[in-house]
Amino acid sequence: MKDTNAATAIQRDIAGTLGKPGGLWYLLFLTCLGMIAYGGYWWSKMLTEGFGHTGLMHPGMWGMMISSFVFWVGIAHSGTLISAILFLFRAKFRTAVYRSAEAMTVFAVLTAGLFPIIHLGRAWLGFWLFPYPNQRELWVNFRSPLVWDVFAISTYLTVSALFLYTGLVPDIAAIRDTLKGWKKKVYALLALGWRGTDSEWRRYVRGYLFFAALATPLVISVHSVVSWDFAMSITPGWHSTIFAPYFVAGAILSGVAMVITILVPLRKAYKLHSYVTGRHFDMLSRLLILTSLIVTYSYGVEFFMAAYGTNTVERDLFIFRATGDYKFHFWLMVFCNCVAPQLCFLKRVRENIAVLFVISLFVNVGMFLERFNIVATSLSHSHDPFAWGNYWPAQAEIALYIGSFGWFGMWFLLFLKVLPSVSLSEMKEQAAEEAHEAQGEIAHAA
Amino acid sequence: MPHEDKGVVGLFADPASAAGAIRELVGRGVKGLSAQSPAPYHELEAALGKPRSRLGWVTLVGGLTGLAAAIAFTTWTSLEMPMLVSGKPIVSTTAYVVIYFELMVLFAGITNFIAVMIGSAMARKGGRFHERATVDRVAVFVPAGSPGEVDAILRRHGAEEVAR
Repeated sequence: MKDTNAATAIQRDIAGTLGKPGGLWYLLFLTCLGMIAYGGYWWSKMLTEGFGHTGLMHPGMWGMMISSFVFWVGIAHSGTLISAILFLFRAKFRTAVYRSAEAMTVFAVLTAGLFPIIHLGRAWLGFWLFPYPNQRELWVNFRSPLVWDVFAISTYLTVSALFLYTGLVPDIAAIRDTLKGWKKKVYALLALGWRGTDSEWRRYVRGYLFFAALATPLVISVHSVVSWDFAMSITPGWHSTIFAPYFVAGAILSGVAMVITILVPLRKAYKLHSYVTGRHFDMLSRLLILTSLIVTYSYGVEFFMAAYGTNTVERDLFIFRATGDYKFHFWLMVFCNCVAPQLCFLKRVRENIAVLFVISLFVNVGMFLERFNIVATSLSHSHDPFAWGNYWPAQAEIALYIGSFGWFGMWFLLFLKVLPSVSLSEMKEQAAEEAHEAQGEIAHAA
Repeated sequence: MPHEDKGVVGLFADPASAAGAIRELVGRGVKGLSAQSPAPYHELEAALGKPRSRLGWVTLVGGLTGLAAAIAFTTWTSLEMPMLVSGKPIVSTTAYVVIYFELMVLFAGITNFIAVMIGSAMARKGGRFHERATVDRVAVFVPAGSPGEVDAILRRHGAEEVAR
């Protein structure tokens, strides 16, 4: 007799996505490895022959690598938004999508963290960023926003990885108990002996709540700190009090877009249509509209403050952004981040997954351009006209950026085949609640 | 508290039936009941009526330790290497707030994880275990020597399997 239990069906469908990969997976995986090799080749050239391979030249000493760093930290943020903030708000639609978003967070931070290390030049001295006892009795300068960033990113990576792992433990145990042989042993090791007794669940539920409560202010602090890498300096276009909330909103916009970009093919490839439904995309596109409007407002306020204020250098910089050598990037950014997401106001668009996917790609491009515009325009057009000069990325930096997508993709593809991309325990819990509610409605109607 | 090694185990297909059985058993004076399930079902938790975990206090202590460590570390290193930067005080408390916050969250997060995992390991020590109850069934464990017709109650509420 076929088992019609909802939990059985959830286990079968979601755990069924694990196991032996298909041809498409291998193709994507090899593509990712190729991209990593391309980026790695140029990084090795930078390490052995120097930074002359990059486009970095005075005054543009921060370029595409720093833009990429901010881009990837931003991508990470919506994972925490979906997993932690929406958990605290008890938004049920998060259940089906939060696991991939959380994994995306960890892998995106892992990717982001590479760029400051590469940007050091002498990457092997990366440990200098951390305070450690040494013979010269030197300590890091805790007043520097760059040191704040080291602490913020390290904390974010650690806490989001622990958050992801905590959520995974009951699911790993559920997979362990359906396996045999060496695979069972591996999953048993990862499950940390989880059995799902009521005493364990009581601790787990509280612990998960505290993780969400810790991750929520953490995520806001992390992108605020990233924004202060810029805002704490006196460079025009950077020295602004609006930067922290503006960066946080931008991070969530880019992250939500990346969640859509990943979920659309994932749902199709693994036939997860009954778990990741149109409603989930509808809710995500509403988040896209909200964050896009906040970002649009922030762009407007930046220009207004420059125009209304008395700082001529600031005013000149914003005129340069919109009409100077980077105007194409600027207006493309405005289109991608401010105009394209507004299409989601139309119900027809929210219901059309293909169009939504294209909009999410536009936002991904737009959010990278935003970071590029912030970094490149301000440095190339600062206080002293004698020191003006444009920055354009060289092949090495483009290769590193492409390589970072390969690095991120590689981890994500491995994750898809080893761990459940949709939470088993939360889906089972939700199915039981829905069954309970349905029974209540039937009883009420009777 | 770990569930008893000896006793009766009832295996249910859905948490509502298991919760019904637990409620009746509790009503008949059975003590020391425990359950195993693939998800944290609220009905089970309510039926068992066990107190909320006090894990939060451990996490709070972890967070406060992180805060204290951050204050001590930044102050000590600044005094150890007193260098004037941008005319700021040697111990620039305002600038260190970010470090205080990050280390507080880091310590709280790590403590929270360790507390959940160690607490869970202690809770399940020596107890019985049903493999399907991490997957798609709910197991209810009744300690040996419990009063009443335990088997009959479990079956009446829809237990697919009752074993000793």
